[in-house]
Amino acid sequence: MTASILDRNNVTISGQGQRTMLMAHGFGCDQNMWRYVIPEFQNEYRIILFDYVGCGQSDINSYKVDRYSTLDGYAQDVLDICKALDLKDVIFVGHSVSCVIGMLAFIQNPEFFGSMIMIGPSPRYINDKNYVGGFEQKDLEDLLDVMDKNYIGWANFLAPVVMKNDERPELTKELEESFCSTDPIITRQFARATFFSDNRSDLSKIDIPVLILQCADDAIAPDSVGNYVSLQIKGSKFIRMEATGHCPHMSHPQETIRHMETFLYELYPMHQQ
Amino acid sequence: MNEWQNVYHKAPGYFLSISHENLIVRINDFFLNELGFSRDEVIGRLRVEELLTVGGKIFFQTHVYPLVKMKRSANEIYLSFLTKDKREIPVLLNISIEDFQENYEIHCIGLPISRRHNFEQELIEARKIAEKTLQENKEVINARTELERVKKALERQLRTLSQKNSHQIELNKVLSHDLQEPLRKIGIFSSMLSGQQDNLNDKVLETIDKIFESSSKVRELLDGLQRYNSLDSKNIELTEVDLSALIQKIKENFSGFPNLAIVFEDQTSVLDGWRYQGDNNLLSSFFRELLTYIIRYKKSQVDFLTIKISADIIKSNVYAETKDQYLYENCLRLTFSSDGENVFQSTPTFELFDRSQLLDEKMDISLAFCKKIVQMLNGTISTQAGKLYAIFGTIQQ
Repeated sequence: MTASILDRNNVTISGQGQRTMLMAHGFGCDQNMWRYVIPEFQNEYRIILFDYVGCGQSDINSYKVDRYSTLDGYAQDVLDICKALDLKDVIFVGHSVSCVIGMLAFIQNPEFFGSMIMIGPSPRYINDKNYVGGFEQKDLEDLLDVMDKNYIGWANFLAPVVMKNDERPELTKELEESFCSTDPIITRQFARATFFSDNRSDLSKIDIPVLILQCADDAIAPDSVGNYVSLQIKGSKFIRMEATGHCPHMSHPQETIRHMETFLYELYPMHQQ
Repeated sequence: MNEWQNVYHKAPGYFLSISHENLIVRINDFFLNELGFSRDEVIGRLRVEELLTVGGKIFFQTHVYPLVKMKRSANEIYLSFLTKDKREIPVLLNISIEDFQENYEIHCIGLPISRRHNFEQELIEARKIAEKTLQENKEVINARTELERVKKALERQLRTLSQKNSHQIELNKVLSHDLQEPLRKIGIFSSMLSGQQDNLNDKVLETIDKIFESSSKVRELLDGLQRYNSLDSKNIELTEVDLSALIQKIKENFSGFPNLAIVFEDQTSVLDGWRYQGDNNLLSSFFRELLTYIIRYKKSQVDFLTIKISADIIKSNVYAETKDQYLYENCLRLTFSSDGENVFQSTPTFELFDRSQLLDEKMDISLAFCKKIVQMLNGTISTQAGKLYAIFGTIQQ
């Protein structure tokens, strides 16, 4: 059971330390996106990375449409991994939609989690009465349309392209690994599960220490959304970053690491010695 | 303008460079003209997303940017740009990244593909129709096979069920009469014996006491079994359950217990209009049984016992017993906890006679009884870290 879960979700474990950091990638990516931040933590933490079923190097045969048509199925992936590795009090680091997935997992089994770092969270992407999510229903139909067009003809455009890179030969191997989900149907489903979700009522159930990292000019999770999340999760720490965009851990890893470290040192002072 | 700049600006293609801050730092005149912006409006002011349709914006941030950052380049990416007067230009882009000491720049070259785009649109529509038909066909065939399988399984289950039912009636009769009768007689004969105290020595009297004790244990056991067994004959009556009212009643039932507080926390109101449909009588029995159990096995050093019951709504897979079937629905979750170290710290098995929980050498069916009610109400029961969780699903009538 354990081995099959670890295999299914392509779980990789690195680093050493008393505490465990479980890092969950967002929509459109896989665990590789954490590579710029993990070296900084590997000396002090055990770091667990994984790909959701249907993403990266996960076992695509385990994909069940019913299970993954809502975020609950993805939360089950997180719980399965926690259970398989007998985790407790982990620091859950989620990017984008994984913040909500982590929340759902926490609500099911709080024992697994000790604290959470949310990078660009949004509990609902579509505007509602008295709520600005940033998008209208038709915008998301437009996204599905763009995705369709990127899959026609060159269905595997996200799959490896073998390129010569004489200057940096170490990159060649990485290029042979597929980076993102290559299955258009699964990606579409994931988009639907993500962008049509509404988990606003779950925010108040989170009663562990939470850090929210909000990028400047984030087109996916705007400032107002991050602010909303921080007000709903009591006691959470909210930081507006200088980093722009939606992936600060890729575009501005140093700033991201700094904020994570400050939060963790305050939370677990023992680590400083 | 030198020769190269001239080519850059006038060549019939789109040249665009983006800073690590996502701002546009370079753009050629040809592209600028198509977009309808002036150079001052764009350079150092607009982010690339601001030139894209909303779908393109999301796709850029979630797919294209991470891809380019990881792989250093991406080819044949489709994105739709928006002109100043909100006209869409479909574009095919090749993208690469150039690193500098401190930061990096992303270079894009694009070709407008309006006409090809229309053609592709038609292809996509056609493919969608074909896929849909194929999918529906597949689904119909699968559904038919599945239906056949389920019908057979149902038939098998009905057969076992009717067999079990006749066993059940038989067992009930045995429990309520055939086994009770000899027990009653043992009682009568023992009292008759002990009535003749003067003629008996102490040794015999002691033995008679032991017989009394054992027969009362057996009686308790039988009562428990009968109670457990009779759950099977209960019909479920679904009504909207008013939890607060129900628990108020339960509190009154327990008001006789000294040094006990029952605290109820209702968090089910977060979802407007959601009401739990269940069986009030079964739920009452569940509460009474479980609370009695918690009180009975509380750690003796606790002077005052507080039992906390909280209710919330949780999404749970309703196919708990069916392999690889998933349907997440709102379920009612009740969480029971009590202060201090409590009986749920050691994980009970919920089996009929859980011997691991034999605290006073009596067999206790309470947890099995509770589990059975939860199962009858389409739910699951479990313990974790000193708390008991009962999750009740929706029940189809």
